[in-house]
Amino acid sequence: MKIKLIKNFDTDVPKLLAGFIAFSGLVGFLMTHDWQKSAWAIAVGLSQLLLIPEAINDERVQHLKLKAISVGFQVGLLAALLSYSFARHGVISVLVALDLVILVSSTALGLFYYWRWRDGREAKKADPGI
Amino acid sequence: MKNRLRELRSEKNWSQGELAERLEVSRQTINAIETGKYDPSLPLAFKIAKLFRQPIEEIFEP
Repeated sequence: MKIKLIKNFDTDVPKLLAGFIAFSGLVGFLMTHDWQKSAWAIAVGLSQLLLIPEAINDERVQHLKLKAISVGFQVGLLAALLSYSFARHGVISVLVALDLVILVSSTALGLFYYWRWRDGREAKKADPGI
Repeated sequence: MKNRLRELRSEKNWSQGELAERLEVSRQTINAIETGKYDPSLPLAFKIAKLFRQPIEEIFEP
């Protein structure tokens, strides 16, 4: 049975589940302060949120998502290089793979949804009678 | 790339949302194409041309 609050069952339910996994990882971290045990849930949740197709998965959406992932990877690479060089001097500990997945996913998700929001705002301005 | 999508849409009295539905894309995509922020793929350009019954080069110009 489809719930009326959920507009697109096939995409919204997996996204809600992924969001719940990420959120539970975050809550777990806040409660236990054990990053190693919580990071996997946050990484799985965020990466799935990014990879699950959108309700309207047209070419513009795919283009924006690819652009956001590319920027996310650049940010991740830069962070990995910086953490490696700082870790050599003993300032911080080196980033592990899960940290990088979280960094890349959260950067890409943030950029993607910002660009989508900006597109939507401009569309509303251009054609208020939508 | 310049295009006449907004002009053609206005002639038909369609909103961006209506055109988006006909082309099976999002309203944001239509706006991005109209404002020149995004160049559509060839299949989408063909779909637009077919919908407005005009050759592609009459709608899009480099």
